[in-house]
This record gives sequence, structure tokens and C-alpha cells, in this order.
Amino acid sequence: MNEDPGVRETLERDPTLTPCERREMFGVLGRWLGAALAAATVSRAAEPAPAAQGRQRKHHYGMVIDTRRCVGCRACVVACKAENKTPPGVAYTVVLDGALEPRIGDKPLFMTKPCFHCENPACTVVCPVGATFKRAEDGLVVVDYDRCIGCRYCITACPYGARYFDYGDDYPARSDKTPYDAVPSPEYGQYRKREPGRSPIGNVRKCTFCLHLQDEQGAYNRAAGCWPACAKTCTGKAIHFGDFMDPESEVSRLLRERPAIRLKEEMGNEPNVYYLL
Amino acid sequence: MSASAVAEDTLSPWLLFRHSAAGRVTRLLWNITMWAVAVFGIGVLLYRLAVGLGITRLGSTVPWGLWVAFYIYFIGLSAGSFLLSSLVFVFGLKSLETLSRLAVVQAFVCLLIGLVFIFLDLGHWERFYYVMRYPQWHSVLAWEIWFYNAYLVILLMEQFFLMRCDLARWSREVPGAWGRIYKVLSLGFICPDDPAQKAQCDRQSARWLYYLGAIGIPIALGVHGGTGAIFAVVKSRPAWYSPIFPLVFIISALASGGGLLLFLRVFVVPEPAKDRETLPQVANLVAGFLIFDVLLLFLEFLVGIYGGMPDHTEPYRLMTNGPFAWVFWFQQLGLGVAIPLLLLYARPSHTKYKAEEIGIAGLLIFVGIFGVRLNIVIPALAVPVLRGFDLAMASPRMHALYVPNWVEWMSSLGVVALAIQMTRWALHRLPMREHQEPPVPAAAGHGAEPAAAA
Repeated sequence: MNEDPGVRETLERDPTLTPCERREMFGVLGRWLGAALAAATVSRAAEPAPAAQGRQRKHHYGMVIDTRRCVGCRACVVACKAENKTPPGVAYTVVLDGALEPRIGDKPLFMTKPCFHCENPACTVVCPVGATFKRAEDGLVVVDYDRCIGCRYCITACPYGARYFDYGDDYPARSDKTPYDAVPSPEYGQYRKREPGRSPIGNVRKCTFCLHLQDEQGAYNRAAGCWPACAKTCTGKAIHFGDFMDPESEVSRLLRERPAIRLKEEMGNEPNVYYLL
Repeated sequence: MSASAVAEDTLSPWLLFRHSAAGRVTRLLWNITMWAVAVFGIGVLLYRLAVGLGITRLGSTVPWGLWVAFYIYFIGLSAGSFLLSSLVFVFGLKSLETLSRLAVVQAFVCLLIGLVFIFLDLGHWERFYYVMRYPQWHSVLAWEIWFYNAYLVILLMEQFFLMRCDLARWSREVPGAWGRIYKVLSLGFICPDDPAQKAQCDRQSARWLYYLGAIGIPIALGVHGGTGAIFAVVKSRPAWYSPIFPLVFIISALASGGGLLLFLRVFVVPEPAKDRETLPQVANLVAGFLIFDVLLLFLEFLVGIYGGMPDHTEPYRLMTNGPFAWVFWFQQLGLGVAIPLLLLYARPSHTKYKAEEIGIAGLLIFVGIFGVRLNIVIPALAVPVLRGFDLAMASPRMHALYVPNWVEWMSSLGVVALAIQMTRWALHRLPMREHQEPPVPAAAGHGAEPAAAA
């Protein structure tokens, strides 16, 4: 492990660096910084859950997905896996091609399906230990890996199949100890090293709208590339991400201009992901 | 002690068999098998705890499987047995009195087995106490864990008040280490010798049992009705999402608990002289619960199929016509309902009942209810929440067809086998039955398997 105090000092001194710029450095620095950050976040995880602190809602993040622009290439699935380093059997977004009837002329209708970060999540209320909750400040539904006991009740409760259990399976790239194995997942800014028996193995995992790319104010920066990986990579520009609290955001505008649907409205979950048909 | 019982009931083929040479050989083989299963199964269980849930066939489409089915099964057996014992302690149903102590033992052991199965199913079992450390009032599952703990305390106290007199007596009669153990277990309680004082003491125990049973009834209903509510509140699974579900759990618990009680009373700890009147009455009660349970099943199917919502009817289609339809038709309805009812009632009214028939009917009922438990947990999960979701990712963890593997089966059987052997040992070593004599310490016993002598 070759430590580079110069870069660490830069990081500590300059708070204006965006998480993305920081992330660039992590790529260079390799493991030791990831481990240091993981240690820092472990101490942070000991604090009470943010939801309990009654913070003001500052953002209302969601997606508007234009199924007419989706060609079913599944680049979003791959981008998500590359970003979050999810193991086999865990994919924070999947592409369904049979959820709705095909279009006229038997053209298939593809649907990319991340977590909908519902306004009334069915998954969080069932959690016996409060490990999963909806963040008060931006409405994202998250999992505290150090709290989750792995009972999987939330998986059964989610009407949209947004939750996956990490059974500890690995791709050959990891089990063969290729350089890929050395790169930690940036999820929740925790940079955890994947080790048998250690969280997130044995936990329930789900899409976070790549919240590790938010800045300290909880904002994303599209121009700097701090944007959910699936939306950033979408080849047909079908996945629109943004803040519904900002009336001028792309997602707010799209909802005003075009009729949209949400899945299983009758559940009352109020999903924050809309589909344009 | 059972010699006199044999003399009184020489016509019972099971008792003749138990005391024959063939019976002893069978018992030896049974014990060898059970210990082998227990040792191997517990080894598999420890292996699973060490390496995680990855070695099971569970996935993200069917995240709950065999262990959850076993968990609700044993919690049900426990709550059912407890409620039956309360009929005696609280409602003074004298005709069931001879079964009440066995029912409490059964409730206690089955609760412990059920708790082992939830523990076994956790991805991070080392954090199990978080349910207490981070209580969530809005989670049914958290409520359930609290209920199980309260229920465990009630059962422990009931056991104590049922046994304290005998423990005090045994602590005087049995020399050596076991005498001291009985002394500790009796918490220093001294049972008076004087008949009048003894009667006073018995009344006091009965009053304690009355209050414990009375507090225990809502708790036991909460224990298993609440276990049903774990499923009933899940709106994403229409086959679970029904206010009838907690009731189904309670009724099937009473049927399975009663079935187990009948089986144990006839085949494992028989008291034919005392049970002559009791067994048929309990059998009638259990059959009543069983028929009620079938009625509830019919209502679920009626409403679900009438509505015709695909998410609701698809689990029923899987149950009745899927790859495991035999569980529904053969185990749940055939073995579990039709044959027991025929055994109990398909004979001319003037003939006398045979204890063995009642015992076998009880066995079939509680084996059948295990099919009910499997069909509660698995088919509802095996229907993906969105069409094609299980195929959206090429991974065995997404398969909608869940078949438990050897790890799940062997660890489960190991837990059950160990619990059976330990219970038989405890039944022999502790005064868990009425008018039980202390085991002769280090005398010419029955070798390594003393419990079998009961």
C-alpha cells in the first residue's frame, strides 16, 4: 500500500471538490483511501437514523422514463453494475419487456425499472429494526447496512421488486482476484471492501439513485457527471432524472407536457418513477 | 410404572409392541437414527451460520422458504398447544386435565424450535438482538419478537408452577448432583407434607396457573395471530393480504397442536388408564378445528378466484396445479384432512374407539398442517410482482421455482431431531408429567437411552 499524503491533504483542505472529482482520485489512489473512508462512515453510521431528526425536505428526486425512447439495450443495467459493483443476482435496475402489453404492431415495450423511491414505501414500515427508511431531506429510500439483520421482510413487501438480497455470490472477476476485486463499491460513500460475512453480504440491497454522487447539500451535478449512472448512460436518452420540487427541472416539465403512468397506482405507494408511453 | 398400565390395557397392540423385544430394537434404531440426524443436521446448521445464506436455494424472487415455513409451523404448534392447556387452567375444562402438562411441555419446546428457525433464517444472525435494541413500533415482525419473548416468560413460569411440588419432592428423594439440580430448579420451594397444607399449596399453584393462563391467552393469540399478521399486512402479495389470515393461523395452530398432543399421548407418553375418556374428546375438538380450517381455506379460494385478479389467483393455481400440487392435494387435504376424519369417524357408532387410530389421526393432522405452512409461504412469493421480473436477470437467485436444497432440509431435520431427543430426555429427567416418579439415579437403567422407558 503506497500512501500519498499529498492527495489526502488536498482532499481535506479543499472542500469545494465535488464527490466526482474526489472519486477520480480514489481511482488513482486505490484501496487505502477507500478503507479510510469506510472507517469514517462506520463511525457516522453509529449516529441515529437521519429520518429521526426531522429534517426539512429539500429535494424530491424521481425519474421520468420515456418508453418510446427505450430500445431495450440494457446499458443502464450494465452502467449501474459498473457504478455500484453489485454482485450476481443483485441489479438495482432491470429491463422488463413483458410488464405491459406490446405496442400496436407487436413492437415490444421495454421498461427499465429502478427503485421507485415511493412517497409511501411499503418496504420501510415492515423493517423490524429500522434499517431501511425514507430520508427526510430528499425522499430517497435507503438501507443502513450496519443495522439490517437480513430478515428479507422488505423484499416480500415491495410491490415492485426493487429489493435484492446479497447472498455473497461473486462474478469470476472477483473470485479470480482480478484488479476489479480491488475496487470497492462507492455506495452511500462507504467504499466497503467486499469480504465474506461482512455487510453488505447478508443484507438487502437496492437502488440509491447513486446518492454517493450528491454534494454536501444533497444536490446532483449533471454537467460534472454526478448523475445516476443509468440516466447518464442511457443510449436513447430515455431515462430522465431530476428534482420534482424544482418546477423547471426536466422531469417536472415532462410530467406537465406528456401524460405519464405509474405502476400499480392502486397500491397507494405513490412511486416517484413515472413512465411515458 | 407403565407395567400396571399394560396390565389394564393388554389389548392395545402399541403398548404390547413397546414392551416387546422388537419394540426395544425399534427404539434403539430410532434413537440411533435421530442422534445421527441431529449431529449431522446441527453440523450443517453451524456450517450455514458460518458461511451465510448463499448455500441455500433462496433468492430475491422467493426470499423466504423452508425455514420460514418451519418457523410458522412450530410457532403454530406451540400456540395451539398452549391454548388447549389454557382450556384446563383458565376455563376449568376438567376432561382435558390429564393432557394439560404435556401440552405445556409441547408449547415450550415448539416455541424454542420456532425461534431457532427464525434465527437460522437471518442474513446477519449475530445482530438478532437489534430487534430489542432498535425497536420499531410500526413493524409487525418486531411486535412478534416481543410477543415471543413475553410468551416464553409465561411458559417458563407455567412450567415452574406445574413442577415445583414434584421438584421439591425429588430434591429430597434423589441423592447427589441431580438432587441439587432439582433443588435449584425448585428455587428453594418446599412442598409441605401435611395433606391439608399440601392441598393449600396445590390451590396456590392452580391460582398461579389460572392467572398465567389468562394472561397467556391474549399473548398466545398475539403470538400466532400476529405471525399470520406478518403475512396479512403485505399488500404486495394478494394471496396473503387478507384479514382472514391471522384467524387461519390460529385455527390451524389449534388443529396442529391438538394433533401433536394426541399423537404424543397415544404413542410416546401413553397413560391409557387415564386417557380412556379424554382422548376421544380431544379428538373431536381437534377435528372441529380441522374442519373449520378447511372452511377458511374454502373462503380464501372462493373470494380470490371469484375476484379473478391474476396476482391473487396465480398462487392458487400454483398450489393446486403447479409443480408441488401434491403438497396441496396429497399432504394438506388427503393425509391432513380426509384420512384423519375417516379414521376418527368412519366406523359404526357402537364400536369403541381405538387409541392407535386417534394417535395416527393426530400424526396425520400435524403432518398435513406442515403442507399448509409450505403453501402459505412459497406459492405467494413464487409469483413475480411484475410480469417477467423473474426472467429480467439471468440468475438462479431470481428463479420463481424454489426447491429447498439439502442444506435447508438437513439443518431443519437436525434441529427437530435434536429437540425431540432433548425433550425425551427432559421428560425423563424432570417432573413434567403428573405423578411421575424420579428416575433411579445410576441404577440398573436402560443404558444410554433412559427416556424411552417412560
